[in-house]
Amino acid sequence: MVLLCTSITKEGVAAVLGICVLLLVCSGCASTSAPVDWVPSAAEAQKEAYGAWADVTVQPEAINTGTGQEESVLRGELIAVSDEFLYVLTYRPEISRGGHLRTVSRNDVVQVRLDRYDSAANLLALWPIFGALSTISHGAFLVLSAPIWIIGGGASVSRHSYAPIYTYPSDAWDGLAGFARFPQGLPAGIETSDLRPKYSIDEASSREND
Amino acid sequence: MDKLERQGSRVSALAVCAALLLVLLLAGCRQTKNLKRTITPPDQYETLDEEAPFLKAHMDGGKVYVLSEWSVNDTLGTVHGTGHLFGINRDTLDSGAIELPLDEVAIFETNVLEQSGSVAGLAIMTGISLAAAGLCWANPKACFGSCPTFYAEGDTLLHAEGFSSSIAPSLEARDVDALYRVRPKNRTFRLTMTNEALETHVVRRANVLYAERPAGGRVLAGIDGSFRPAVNFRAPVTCRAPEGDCAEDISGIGGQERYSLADSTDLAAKETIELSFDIDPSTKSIGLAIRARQTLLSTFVMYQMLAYMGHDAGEWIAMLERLGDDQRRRRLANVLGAINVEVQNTRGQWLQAGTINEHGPLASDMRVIPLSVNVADRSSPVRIRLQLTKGAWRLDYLALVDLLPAVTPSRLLPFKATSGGTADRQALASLLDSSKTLTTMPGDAYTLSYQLPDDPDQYELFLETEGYYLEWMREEWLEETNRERVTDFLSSPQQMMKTLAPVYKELEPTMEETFWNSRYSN
Repeated sequence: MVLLCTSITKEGVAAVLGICVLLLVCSGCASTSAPVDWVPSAAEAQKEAYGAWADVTVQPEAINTGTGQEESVLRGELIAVSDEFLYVLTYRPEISRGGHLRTVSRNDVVQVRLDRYDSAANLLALWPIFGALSTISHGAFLVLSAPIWIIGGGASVSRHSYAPIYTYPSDAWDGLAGFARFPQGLPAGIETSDLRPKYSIDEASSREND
Repeated sequence: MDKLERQGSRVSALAVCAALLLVLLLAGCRQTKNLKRTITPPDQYETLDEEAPFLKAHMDGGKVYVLSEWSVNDTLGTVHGTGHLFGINRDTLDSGAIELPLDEVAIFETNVLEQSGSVAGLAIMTGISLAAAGLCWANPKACFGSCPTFYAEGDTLLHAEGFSSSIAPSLEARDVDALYRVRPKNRTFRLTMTNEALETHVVRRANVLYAERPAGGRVLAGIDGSFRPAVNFRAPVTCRAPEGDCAEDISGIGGQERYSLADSTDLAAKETIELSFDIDPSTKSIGLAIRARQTLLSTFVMYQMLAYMGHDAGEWIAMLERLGDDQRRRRLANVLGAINVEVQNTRGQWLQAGTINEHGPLASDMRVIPLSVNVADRSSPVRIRLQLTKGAWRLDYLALVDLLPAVTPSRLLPFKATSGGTADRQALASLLDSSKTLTTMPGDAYTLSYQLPDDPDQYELFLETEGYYLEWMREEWLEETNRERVTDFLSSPQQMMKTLAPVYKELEPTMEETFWNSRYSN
């Protein structure tokens, strides 16, 4: 890519502009609040047995942090779902009581967003970038032809990035359980205090600092 | 930069990008697939997806087995495989060859990877830009385009194309196509709906209509939306076209078609085909059965208009939609005209019988035009005249038929939709609810299943579709952006047909071959 840009001068400037525009388009792709390396790829999710990363928006009065502050979003691993309740193992101590299993009544749930697996859209986004680069030789026409890759390619990447996202209530409540750690429901007799997250909080900080 | 220099620069730049893209494809292919998860109660173990590489058996206490090379022995009531047992925090408790009782499983989980439609769409764009671009550079208006195409199970014939003229949301329409050559083998009838071009298809419905055939006859769709049982199909005694005798070409035998080349000075110039048929004077109701499809002339005209619109195509189409003049919009769509059918009475006068205006160059469609001439006023033999645009139509069958009273077909909605071999409930729900639509991108394919009545070969089948589609701008077209030409086209389409005639005549000899070779499936 560097060789291509240095051998073509005027068009190189236009190519950089095209890439910048494409990156802007890809800002329309799905993002995640999950810690680094938390969300598995589609291939890894076939054999991994943790629950999906969940952002659960609730009625503010439904959650008492014990700090006198109200919160409206619980973030963590989806542990189980029943017809009446949803269980999340929260993960960020600075936002909520860390590492505890939180139980939310379905009536208090405003929205649930699951990151079921990593779409690898960041990798896929390189594809239309190179496609846009292929229009370098068009010279001034690049600003006309590159948009084809931006419009079509950006839309494809954006669409793909949202494929793993499951959102209640747009999607059915019944479909949430399949991506919980315990899709059969919270096991009877389990000590909830024994549940541990995928990574310890220290491990997560270490990964983000890498 | 002259044309040769530009082509050389383009080839070298594309070569580098092609190599980079190939590496990217190989590296990213597995990671960019979609995951489909299925949760199965243990008493339904027989429905477990055998394609799943791993089986997860979630146990009542919260532990889970993750097994590969798995199987269920229903005689022994056990699950077998190789893998791991994980505790409630997914720490490994056991590994190796595993056997567990089926009745201790709380729930099964399987996962399969599916090709992403978005990745397929990018592959399409890459293919056009790098591989198929050579064909499109030589003949940009011959780049493949189509509305939804339909194939029947068990053969490769393209049986129908849906709503061919609905190229914008305001032109969304219901379309009925005869599945004339379909031969269902059993009651479950499957059609595969594909998106084979650089287009977005928005499908509101895809149903099958069926009507019982009369003894020794067929049921034909009329141009007025009716369905007429027809018997006693007879070939013309004479068929005269400008090039001479056309009887063999329109006999429906051997895949032959009658077509002509476009006029070199006016793409809208007309020609006439005259037919004569023997008829029993006592026959009360007769009709002309026609099976035809358009040539690529209409495709060229549409693509040329899009090329002139260039990167402002969206703005122009939005303007057309705001015109609020349905006649004007349709006049543009029908600038090349329809097949006009006339029948001669005993006084030698030609009486208008109707027009065939089925758009689409891909699949021939069978229609019938009732010839409403009083028995007493009918000449013998019956003389019929077709007036059509030169070079715009391919006719492969013409016959005179006796018409029976109209019937009302029954409607079948699909009961199943699959994509990539997996049931797609969302797609099915979209097609069953007329307030929703199914959007497909290049490379998408859905197999729709319908339940026919007993003795399905006794019924005539039709495809009923509704929706619209949007053409994607091809990069090669942008080089012809010309706002003045667009204005000329909209204000005086007939004049534009004269302007474009020399351009089309240069492309005409190789257009068919280029068009079919640039289809996605190739």
